Amino acid sequence: MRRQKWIFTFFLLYASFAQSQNISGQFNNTNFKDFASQIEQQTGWRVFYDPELLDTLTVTASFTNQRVTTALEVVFRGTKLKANYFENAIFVFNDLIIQTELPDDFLSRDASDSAVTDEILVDIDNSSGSDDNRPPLIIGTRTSRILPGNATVSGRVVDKSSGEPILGASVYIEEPLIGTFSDLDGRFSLSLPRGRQKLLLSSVGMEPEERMIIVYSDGSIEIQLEEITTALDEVVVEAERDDNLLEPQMGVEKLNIKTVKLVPTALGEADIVRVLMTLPGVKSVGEASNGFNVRGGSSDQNLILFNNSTIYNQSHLFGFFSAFNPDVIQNVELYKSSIPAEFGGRLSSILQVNSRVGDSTKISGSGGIGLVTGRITVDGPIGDKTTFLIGGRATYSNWILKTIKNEDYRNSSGSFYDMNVDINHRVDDKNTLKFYAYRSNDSFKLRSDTLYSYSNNAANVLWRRDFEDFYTDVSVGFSNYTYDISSASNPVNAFELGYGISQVDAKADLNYFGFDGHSLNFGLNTIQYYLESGSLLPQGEESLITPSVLQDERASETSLYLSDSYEVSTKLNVSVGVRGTLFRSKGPRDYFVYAEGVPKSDQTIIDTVSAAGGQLIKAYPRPEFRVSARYTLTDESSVKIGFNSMNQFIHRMSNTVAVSPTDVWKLSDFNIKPQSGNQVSIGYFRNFKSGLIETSVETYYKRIRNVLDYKSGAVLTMNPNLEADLLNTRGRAYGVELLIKKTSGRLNGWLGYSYSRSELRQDDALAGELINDGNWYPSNFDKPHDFTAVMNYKLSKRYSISLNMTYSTGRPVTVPLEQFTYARSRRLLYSDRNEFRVPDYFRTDIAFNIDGNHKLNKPLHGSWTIAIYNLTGRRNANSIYFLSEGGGIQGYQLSIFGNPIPTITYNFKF
Amino acid sequence: MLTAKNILYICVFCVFLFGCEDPFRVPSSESNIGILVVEGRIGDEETLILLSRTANLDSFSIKPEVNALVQIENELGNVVGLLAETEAGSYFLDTDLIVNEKYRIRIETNNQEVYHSDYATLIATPPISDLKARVDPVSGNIEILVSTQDLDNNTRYYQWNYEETYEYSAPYSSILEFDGEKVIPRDRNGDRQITLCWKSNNSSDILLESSIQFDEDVVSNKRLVSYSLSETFKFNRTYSILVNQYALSSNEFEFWSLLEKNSESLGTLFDPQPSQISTNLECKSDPQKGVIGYVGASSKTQKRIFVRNADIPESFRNLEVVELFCEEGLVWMGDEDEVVRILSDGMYVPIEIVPPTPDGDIPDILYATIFCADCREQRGVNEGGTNVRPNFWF
Repeated sequence: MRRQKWIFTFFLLYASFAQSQNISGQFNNTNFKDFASQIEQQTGWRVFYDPELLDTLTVTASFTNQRVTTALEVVFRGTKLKANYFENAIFVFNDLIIQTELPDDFLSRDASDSAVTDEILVDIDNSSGSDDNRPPLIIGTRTSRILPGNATVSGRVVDKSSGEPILGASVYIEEPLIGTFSDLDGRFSLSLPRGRQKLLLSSVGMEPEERMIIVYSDGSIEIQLEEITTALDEVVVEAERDDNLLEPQMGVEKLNIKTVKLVPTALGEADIVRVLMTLPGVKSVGEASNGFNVRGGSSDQNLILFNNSTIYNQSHLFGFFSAFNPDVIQNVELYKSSIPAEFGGRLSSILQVNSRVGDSTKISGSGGIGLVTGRITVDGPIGDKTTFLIGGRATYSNWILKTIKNEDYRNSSGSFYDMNVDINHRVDDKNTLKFYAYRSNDSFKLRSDTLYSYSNNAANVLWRRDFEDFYTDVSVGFSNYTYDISSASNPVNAFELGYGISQVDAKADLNYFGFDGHSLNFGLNTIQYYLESGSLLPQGEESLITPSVLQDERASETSLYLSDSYEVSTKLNVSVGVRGTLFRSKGPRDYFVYAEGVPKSDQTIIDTVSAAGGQLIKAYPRPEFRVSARYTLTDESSVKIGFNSMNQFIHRMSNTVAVSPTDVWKLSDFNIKPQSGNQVSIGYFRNFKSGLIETSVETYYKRIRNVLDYKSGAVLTMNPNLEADLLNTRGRAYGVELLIKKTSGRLNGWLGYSYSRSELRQDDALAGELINDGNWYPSNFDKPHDFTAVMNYKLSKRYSISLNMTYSTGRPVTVPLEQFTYARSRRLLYSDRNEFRVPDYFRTDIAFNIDGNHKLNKPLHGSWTIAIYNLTGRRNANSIYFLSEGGGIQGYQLSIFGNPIPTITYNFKF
Repeated sequence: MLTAKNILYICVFCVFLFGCEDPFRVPSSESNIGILVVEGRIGDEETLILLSRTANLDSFSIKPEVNALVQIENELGNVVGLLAETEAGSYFLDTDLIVNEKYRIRIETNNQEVYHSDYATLIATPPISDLKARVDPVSGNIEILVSTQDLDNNTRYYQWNYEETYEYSAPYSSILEFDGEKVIPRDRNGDRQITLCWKSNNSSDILLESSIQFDEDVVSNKRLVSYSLSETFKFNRTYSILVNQYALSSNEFEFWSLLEKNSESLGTLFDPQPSQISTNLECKSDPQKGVIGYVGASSKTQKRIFVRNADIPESFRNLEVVELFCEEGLVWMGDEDEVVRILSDGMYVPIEIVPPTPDGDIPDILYATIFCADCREQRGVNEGGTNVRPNFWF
């Protein structure tokens, strides 16, 4: 019945069809496809047909200014094919009988409603033959006329075989150049000119896709991408072609886990953080530190979100492994400068780590066995609507300790593990529920004496609901980080030191595409912090340790945000975001009030104030602004600018150069102000060879206020008035980053170079001591020159070689200048802070990847990676230090990986 | 308790596997600033102040500051004592000062710079309650542990230094000596004996402890020394240690902790950055001028113990550490020219007379290399020992 209506509508229109389009040409055994495209070219009309129906039809005719209708009649003569004309489109059907009666309900219909139903759309879609000849997808409600202007096309990109959403797929049209990327759930939204468009899609590891669409009005589509069929042809960096040109943001780095897995690492385990460090603007102080520094910011200024949950310590084994199981991860995104308004709370960057969605078609798994770790992941469907993914990883590093010919190490033990459980449930077409849980744990016993353990726990539930023009995400989560150190070797001193930070967060987020050319995002985000700032407790009867428990800290951080990405013209896109945050430090707590104008110390406390439970101690309202714009210069180049301001209310207290698991986090409170910073950046993006080679130059300048530094000899653990040991300093960072990427081909990879500075200044004599007489001095991670090359070369289908080269200026150190004798030992008088540098860093790694054969029916697909880390064996100085030994002073430089480190890893999939 | 050292272990764990430590030379510094370094403590009975100047890293010499005027002043600014320079840069005074009074040091250097320390209250140091040696069951190291307690609970910060003395012997026990012409019997009771020697060492580590986190002002079994197997030769005969204990003020404790951090535990990335060391002195004549050091005031308490070899199970001692390559020989006593020829250059020492075989008539003299016969001549770990029995030795 519905189909009749549709056809009837055509019929009615046919009568009024002002047919004046003509066609000319000589056709000799031309297939219909070419003939149709001739019509399209000459008339501007579109011809729709089922290729299967017409693949045997050839056209042999000669037309001179022949009306199209006549021409088609000639062509279809002797067949049952009929042409139907509708607006400026021609539909070809087989043996179509045109209904001449009015349908029963015709008169009751709204006269203006010439809508066709989606059914036809589906019919056409299902008739698709070869890729090239698939009919266009109809978007929105078909109307008799295509209206001028733009409409919002939203949709979802999914993996054809598994049904998993594809994140970070680029979705764009070329003329005019308009594009975007799919998000975590494979969703995207674009404002496109109405009418016929060619939509292009690409994503790492997937076959690029081209689909014709006809945009009538706002609407949504689902597009399936197929995985690249021969896994052997995978490339290191797959093109998200033209991403770099199109996206309005700057300073966004996206890595797919497949890329990460091909970069050689020291202990044979794919490590996302290590690979991020090969990109310009991301640095670290050294190899044994998993903290990373983004554009001159300290390592606590990175917000690490693993499936929406904040992770406070992203390393295992004191930085030798990252806490993320590579088999679980889908990809990572790092925002260095254009940070979306929905994120906040850290100054430097947002690192989003996203795990895969379980396979919706069958149970499958993957895993690996390396020298010190093993891991396994299983995922699959539970019923029709639910998928799961469970991953685990553990170490068996104890055997290494046992082989060391040093009693202290033989008496030590160490282990770590991490686990993920992800569940994805599609309630119905409109509603999806996601559940994530994560736990990581490290435990070390040193010299049978001190036991260290630390762990992260996180869980998160997200409800996604789709509407016509928008979708909403509502999530509730929990994350926590604790550490515990205990020693019982001396019963009198036996102690247990504990620390914990927990947060409960909730977020409601709405993305709206209802306005032409606009993509709006707004929401509310609130975090409740609970810190157990530290407890030192005696263990056993004999222990004389005085139980001491620092006061807990409580605070809330509530943010309201709104951003709009507006396609001003086909060339100009402007994104504007505002985020207002209210941070409230709350009781119960007794806090100190210090005298003004003098350095804070025990002696300058003038009052102690008791705040009751829930009572506000101090509120810090902070507005933030995020602005970025993209202007397309040519098809292959664009320029972008950005500004952002950020605030940070939680600070990691670390008096050491590297991040250590025993560092404590501290909230802003009555005495500790939030850190704040802003950044301006400009970038030029240029592609060559239609996006095969991407290049970019970005430059930035950043200012930071209220960075925390420490007075000499500061005590950071179990200090009830920590603020008296802290200094507020100012920071600035600036730099230029160059990146050249070759995204596909036998040889692919990237070259990055950055010149960047990161400096601090403490020139307020009233705050305490001056550092370096109040002059600017380089931060610990100030490494001006940094060059990295990551390359992958495919020798054949099964063999590939990866090479990774890194050069950087040595990091700053404080060195001794003069010596003197004190307490019978030679002692050192140190230089100004960070006045000197360790020798420059240079490292080359190489990996040889062997894939097993690819017989589809094999139950287990294995691959081997043989890698040599630090191929040249250069002894890169990780740190420089001086020891007074038996009355003398000796300087040493310590290299963590001072020799080539060979590793072998076996990975498997089933 | 939890220290950077433990974390250092973790880092070093990986270095053990893959890493290396290489010597590092500091970029040459042209600025030999020559800052005055003041070390010492005002004591209730005696005060010793050491003055020197900083030197660049290459020069291994200490530069004592000589001909300075060093005085102790009381809170009224009156000079209560003038220290005498007993050796270059070392200024000493043995005047009794009053506990709980405040004192400071005033220094006027040869080039007319004037320095003052801050006033410090002379603190009474509680006695050492226990000092003992034991074998650590985990490491097998021999350790010396000190304990103390202030019943008034107000000392809280402690520092120790020590002098250890151990006895060692020569492999040959010489009962003869050569007087330049002939071999005569050796006096084995006085300072002519050369079989037993004593070697003393002073502590070079900064030994600190605080009881601030305890309810009671107790330090229990603070480890002062820990000897691994390679150093346990000190316990092969008798070992003695004299421990000096000092009470510190909290600022002085902080100074010493910082000094310790800066030069003793700068091992890895996980150690704190070196920081500028505080001082309680200032240059009055030129406030811009730096000065290093902290002069506190406290009395001293002492305790000595002896550790006999029977106190330490033999399995924890390494008897083989001192390796000597001894030569020995026999010379016929009757051949006086040969005896003089062998013994006159001092390379060999006569040990004992070897009784003649039944068919012989005149006995032989056994002689051996001097460093095997005379304990003072040993080199290596025992270098610098003396054959004079210390007066505190039993």
